[in-house]
Amino acid sequence: MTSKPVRSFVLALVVMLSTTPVARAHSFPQEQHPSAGETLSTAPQEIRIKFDAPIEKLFAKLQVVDSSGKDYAVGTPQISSDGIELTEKVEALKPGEYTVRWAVVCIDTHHTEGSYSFTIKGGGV
Amino acid sequence: MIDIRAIFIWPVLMAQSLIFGTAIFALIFAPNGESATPSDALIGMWRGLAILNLVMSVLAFMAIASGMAQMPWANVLPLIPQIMRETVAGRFWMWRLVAALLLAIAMWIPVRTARLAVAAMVLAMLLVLLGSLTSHAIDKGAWVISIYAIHQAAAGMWLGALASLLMSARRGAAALEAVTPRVSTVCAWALAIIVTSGPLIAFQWLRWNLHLLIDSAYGRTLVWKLATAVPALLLGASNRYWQVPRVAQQSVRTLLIRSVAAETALLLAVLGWSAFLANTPPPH
Repeated sequence: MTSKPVRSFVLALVVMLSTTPVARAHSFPQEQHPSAGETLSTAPQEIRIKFDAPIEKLFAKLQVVDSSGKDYAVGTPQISSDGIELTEKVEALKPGEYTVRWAVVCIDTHHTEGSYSFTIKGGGV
Repeated sequence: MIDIRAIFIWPVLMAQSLIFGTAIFALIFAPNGESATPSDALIGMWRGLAILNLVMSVLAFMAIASGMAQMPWANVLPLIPQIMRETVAGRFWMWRLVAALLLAIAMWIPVRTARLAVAAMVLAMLLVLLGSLTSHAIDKGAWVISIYAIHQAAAGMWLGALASLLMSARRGAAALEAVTPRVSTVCAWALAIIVTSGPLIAFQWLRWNLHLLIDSAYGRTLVWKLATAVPALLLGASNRYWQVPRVAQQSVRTLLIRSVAAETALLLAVLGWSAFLANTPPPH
């Protein structure tokens, strides 16, 4: 009596699972431009961080601050179509040390955050 | 610090597993055609668990949304529609809440036919699958999601079979004697699936780095889960090889019921560790 609905259900499950998109989760930076600790001779126009798993655009945050805490990020962060690269435009940066602070939410809902610094040659800000 | 999300996910896992396990047992494995007319006690349990599942799912989603937005619950409330539209987890959770609502409504439809058991099984399995799609398994793609869902379903079958035995014990010795060998068989198969799928899932994150069992929060939670599961497994083995063959004896029946109750309690605790594991980032 019930074997037909049970068989149909198992078949539906197999179809659903076989068409589930492959994804990765728990996002941590894989590549950064500028990279952590890098000393640059020219100021970057934007900051890019490539994560090892897709992130949610809704919760992506990025700041670029100097020693006084002023944020030089412009506009809202952009996310690549595959969801793994975060890009943020920055104002014209003067020589000095800057800290990049990022916070993202992975597609598995877990929040990760971190920071790193880079330097622009040529003296203080 | 205890993750509040795990506090809400634990009853959700319990409710889904028990409904799925008891429904599939009633439909496929129970003797005397119980699937045709599920007992009042079984329907009552499904109704209570379906309501618990719905309420706790809403709370769990609120806690998850609050964690994603890094905001208190009151502040995240206006963001809920946007989270459901624009995030992967939000979209899966929206379907999970719809399925939980459908389950809660379906269980209160005043019918006592096999269709109710089919609805309970299908909707609970759908919830298990959607739970897998919002778990760490999404980290590894379709195959791991499948294994994770099968692992959860097998746990539900083990738990559901034990609960079915305890419920049949209330109907007298004859009912208990009839159901016991079938429960034993279902538990053995469920256990075989669990011990095969469990290491496959753990391997996805721990690989051969066994030190991560001690050096990571994920590994330590997994060790606690195993430490709780092993006594349940030993109790199950003792039931299968010593008490089930002697279930015709009154003294053994009493002991069997107590032992199965203890095994059930241990399995519910194992689900608690699963809830914590689901909310602990795997080692990176």
